[in-house]
Amino acid sequence: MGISLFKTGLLASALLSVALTTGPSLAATTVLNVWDQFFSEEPNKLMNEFVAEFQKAHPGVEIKRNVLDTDSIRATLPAALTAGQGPDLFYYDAGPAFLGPLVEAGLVADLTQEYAARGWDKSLVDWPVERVTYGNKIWGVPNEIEYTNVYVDLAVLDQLGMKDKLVADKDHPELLTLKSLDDFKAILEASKAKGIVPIAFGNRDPGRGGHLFSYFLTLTAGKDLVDKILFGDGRWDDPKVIDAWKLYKDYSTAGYYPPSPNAISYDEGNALFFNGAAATNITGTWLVGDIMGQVADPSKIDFFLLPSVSADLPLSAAAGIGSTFAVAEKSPNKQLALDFLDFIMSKDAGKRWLKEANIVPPIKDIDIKGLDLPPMMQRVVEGATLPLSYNLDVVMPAEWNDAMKTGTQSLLDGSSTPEDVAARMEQAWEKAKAEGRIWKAH
Amino acid sequence: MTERLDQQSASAARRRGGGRPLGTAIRYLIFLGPAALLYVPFVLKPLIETFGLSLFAWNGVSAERTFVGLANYARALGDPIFWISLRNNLYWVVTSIVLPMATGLVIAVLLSAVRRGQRIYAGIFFTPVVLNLIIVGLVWGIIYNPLIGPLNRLLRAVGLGSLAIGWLGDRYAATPAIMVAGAWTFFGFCAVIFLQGLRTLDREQIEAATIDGAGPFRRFRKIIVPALSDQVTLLIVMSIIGSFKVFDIVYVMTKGGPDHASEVIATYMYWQSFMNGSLGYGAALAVMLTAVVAGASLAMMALRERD
Amino acid sequence: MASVELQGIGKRFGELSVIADLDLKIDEGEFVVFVGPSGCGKSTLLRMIAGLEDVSGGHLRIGGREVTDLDPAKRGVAMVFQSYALYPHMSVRDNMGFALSIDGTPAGEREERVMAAARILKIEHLVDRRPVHLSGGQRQRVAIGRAIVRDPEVFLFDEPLSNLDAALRGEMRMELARLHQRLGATMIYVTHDQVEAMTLADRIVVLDRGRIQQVGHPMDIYGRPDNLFVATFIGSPKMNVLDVVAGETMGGLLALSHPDLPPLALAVDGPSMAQGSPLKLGVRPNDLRFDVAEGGIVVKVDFVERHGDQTIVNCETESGLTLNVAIPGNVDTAPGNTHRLGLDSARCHLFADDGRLISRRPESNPARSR
Repeated sequence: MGISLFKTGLLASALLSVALTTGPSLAATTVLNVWDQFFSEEPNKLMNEFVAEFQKAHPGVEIKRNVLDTDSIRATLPAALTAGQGPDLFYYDAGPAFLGPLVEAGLVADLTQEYAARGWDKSLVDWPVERVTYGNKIWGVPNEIEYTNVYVDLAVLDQLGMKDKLVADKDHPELLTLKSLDDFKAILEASKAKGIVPIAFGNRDPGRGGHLFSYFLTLTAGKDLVDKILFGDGRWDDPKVIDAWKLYKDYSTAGYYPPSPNAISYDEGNALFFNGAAATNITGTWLVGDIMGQVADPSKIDFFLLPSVSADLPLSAAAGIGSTFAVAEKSPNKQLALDFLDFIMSKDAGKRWLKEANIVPPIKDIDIKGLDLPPMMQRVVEGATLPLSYNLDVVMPAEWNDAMKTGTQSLLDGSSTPEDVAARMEQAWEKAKAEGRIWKAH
Repeated sequence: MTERLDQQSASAARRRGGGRPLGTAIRYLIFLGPAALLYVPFVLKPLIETFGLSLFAWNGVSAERTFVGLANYARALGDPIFWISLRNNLYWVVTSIVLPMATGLVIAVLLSAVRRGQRIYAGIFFTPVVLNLIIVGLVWGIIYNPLIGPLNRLLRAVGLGSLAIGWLGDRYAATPAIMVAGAWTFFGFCAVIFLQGLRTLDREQIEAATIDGAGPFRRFRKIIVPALSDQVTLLIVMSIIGSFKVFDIVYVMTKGGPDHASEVIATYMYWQSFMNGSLGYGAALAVMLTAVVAGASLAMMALRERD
Repeated sequence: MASVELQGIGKRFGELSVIADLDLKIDEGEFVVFVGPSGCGKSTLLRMIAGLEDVSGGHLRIGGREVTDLDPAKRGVAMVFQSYALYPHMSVRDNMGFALSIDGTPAGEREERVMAAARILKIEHLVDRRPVHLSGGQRQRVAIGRAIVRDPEVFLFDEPLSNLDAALRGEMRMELARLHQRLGATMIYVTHDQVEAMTLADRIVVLDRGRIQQVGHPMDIYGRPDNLFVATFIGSPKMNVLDVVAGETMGGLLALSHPDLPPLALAVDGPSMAQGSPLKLGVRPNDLRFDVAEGGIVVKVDFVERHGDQTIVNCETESGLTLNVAIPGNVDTAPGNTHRLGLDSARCHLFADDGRLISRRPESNPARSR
């Protein structure tokens, strides 16, 4: 009885779906499959709005979204594309460990011509486009500029009597910074003395420590040295790389991190900061949305950028594009996918990414006046114009990432030295380089 | 008359003789068919394909795969993280036999003395078994949290603050900490299995042992435990297989970290295959895991047969 | 070897009292059988002596020693269970030597005592086997052997033969009797089987609803039951019971009437009966005479059970009363035949309506064996 009832139900629903799809629009319906990672509330909502509007403007087009988290899309997308059952359009990590192998396997559409045809070469910011460039060809459309920064709880800072340490940058007066890293240390020391966690840092997922490393490397070495390592004859055991690790390690030794950061998840670390239990939080601009949504009074939170160790390095941060949109080579609907991308990367759409999803799109000359962005978001947009360096994990091969990320954990528990970690990174780099698995934009 | 009888019995013999092999084959087919129907496409075929994959160097997407023979297996033998993972799996085997089974046994013995509400109590202890491991991981993640976790608060409250470490972030404590959470998801199952076993135990045996002078501990060890040998075997086999296959709870709680210290073969295999772009190596790890599990199961069954 | 003394023993499960204020003294070396229908409390009583059940009230002494609250192991008792309760994962040798291995008896002595017991029970060749490889009778011997090895002051048997088939039961009964003779130990034996009770016991304790109905030598219990319960419980086939009405008492003789019976008078002492009181007349099947020439009770044969050594004829009177008659040897009858049964008032027991004894069969006064 139960089974036959079940079967009847199954049959009924099958008939129903046939009836629905055999309606008058059947002949005209084109389905565009999109796999993305916009699972957070606001970006998800915005994507759904874009989809609805695009469908309205394109009768007979149906966009089916499949929203996945990062680990899930990494585990499933390659196999799906290889099997020819993947999406038409997907949002995936841009780096040589992720998009790179897909490009090499011929699974991703070459968009170089489209950039010229659709004017993206002029409308989009150059460096994010470079991140999706392999062998002088462009394979994706980046949709987000993100970079590391230091969030600060102004109420705590006030309590510490350290508010005057925040200064406006001389070239970018909208941006806050400190006079020197010593001022940062002063804030951290004062915070420690008051029993407030100086830096809300959770490194159970060691990618978080990786962001700190990328940021500190920007401060000690600057973008030029990193460029030299990535594209020239520089080495990962360079003394300035080791300096970055020493900075990371020194903050641990000095007690600026919470106890046992390796045991604290990223979310738990952020929660510490959101609850006012920590003075600062070194992470990235991607957290702005969460701060707006989760902190009881977001106006008490602001962010600043750390000054470099030497005065000759410009104000910078470690930046990346996170993931990128890319089109499947095997897709029968490439032009439709590109039309959709065109739609969501227009200047108007760009304003909405900013306003509704707290995402800074790599679209040039967006007029943010009249958008009524919160001050912190205005600063994020301003910061995106800086000469930014690399948030490394995304652009690096897997074994280098493993050496770097395990390094962030083993430095904290004392089982590695900065020199050990740097040596392991160089070793991994040379291996990947020898096997041709590194990012070569040009 | 005699002749006719002979003929009859001869034809009967023919019927039997001719019919039996065919009948047996059909019977085998009927009994094994449905299982084979599932087993071949969903177990055997993937297994063979995985073994095939393990002979190649392949990142999972590239059009070209390089045949490397057994190099992936050789790579495992020289890979320190492989050995850490295997060692952790062996820790899991030992712990998951000792911890949840011992707890489950004690609870089952105590429960068996409860006359009213035995099922309700058993149900409460069984709850963690049916909980999603993701939720278990999150709950225990909070318990172990060094800042807000109840465990460290408790330790500090009772003056053992020096033991209040960052459990999941400590390379020595992470695996034991996950194993305790894992045991928590399994002890209720052990308890229920043991409780069932105890129901079939002859009470008079325990009384006889009491009169013979055996105290509670000796009765437990000499009468109750041996009487539960079937249940013990079942749970040991399940523990061994489960310990080698363990994945979710490790992945949710530490992703194998810190610094690969809590890695097990399954998480390492997943990481190599899908995060590190070494699908061929991941396949070799999968084949070795399968071999170990199969070997352990066969050994257990052989031991059991001998008994 | 020790005496066992129960003084004011009671057992309650919550509100429910199953045994109340029970007194009993068992002598050293005595073989006492507790018998009664299921639920009479005989097993509970035995288990209280063993220490497996708490005593709710009263005192229990073994060999003069107060053991009421003592651990079972410290009472000097050994018990043989209905299910044998052998430890399935141990060899026969280990089963029998388990108690000794616990009390720390040296291995050599343990082996000697196990083998001595095995010899007594003729199971020396089985000592290396596991219980699962033994027959029911062999298991029973091992269970008894396990008790013997401990050399207890008191042996307790809880329906030990009820799981055996009839032939084996008879054999083991004999063995137990022999064992008692040989060991001279105090033994307490619970059964619902009156043949076991009659054949094994020095004294039988008949229990019903947690109370002792009668204690005595088997032949006394059989021949001189103290009440209707004992009278009907002991003896096979069961005693016939007829509802009679008291008539006049004249010269120590009480007249009784029953529609199917010829006039009858029984010698009674004690207070006279009110005329018209309902009474119970008991007569054992072998005390009825079959096929008297005249008078007696007219019955029709319902069915016939031929046992070989005796024949039991089940008959019905005109008013529908069922009577069993036991006749030595064989008898020539068949269902439907009509016979006359002779009822001798001297062979009748008389009970009050509530089961109290009024008058016993006078000449039954058998010689005691002890």
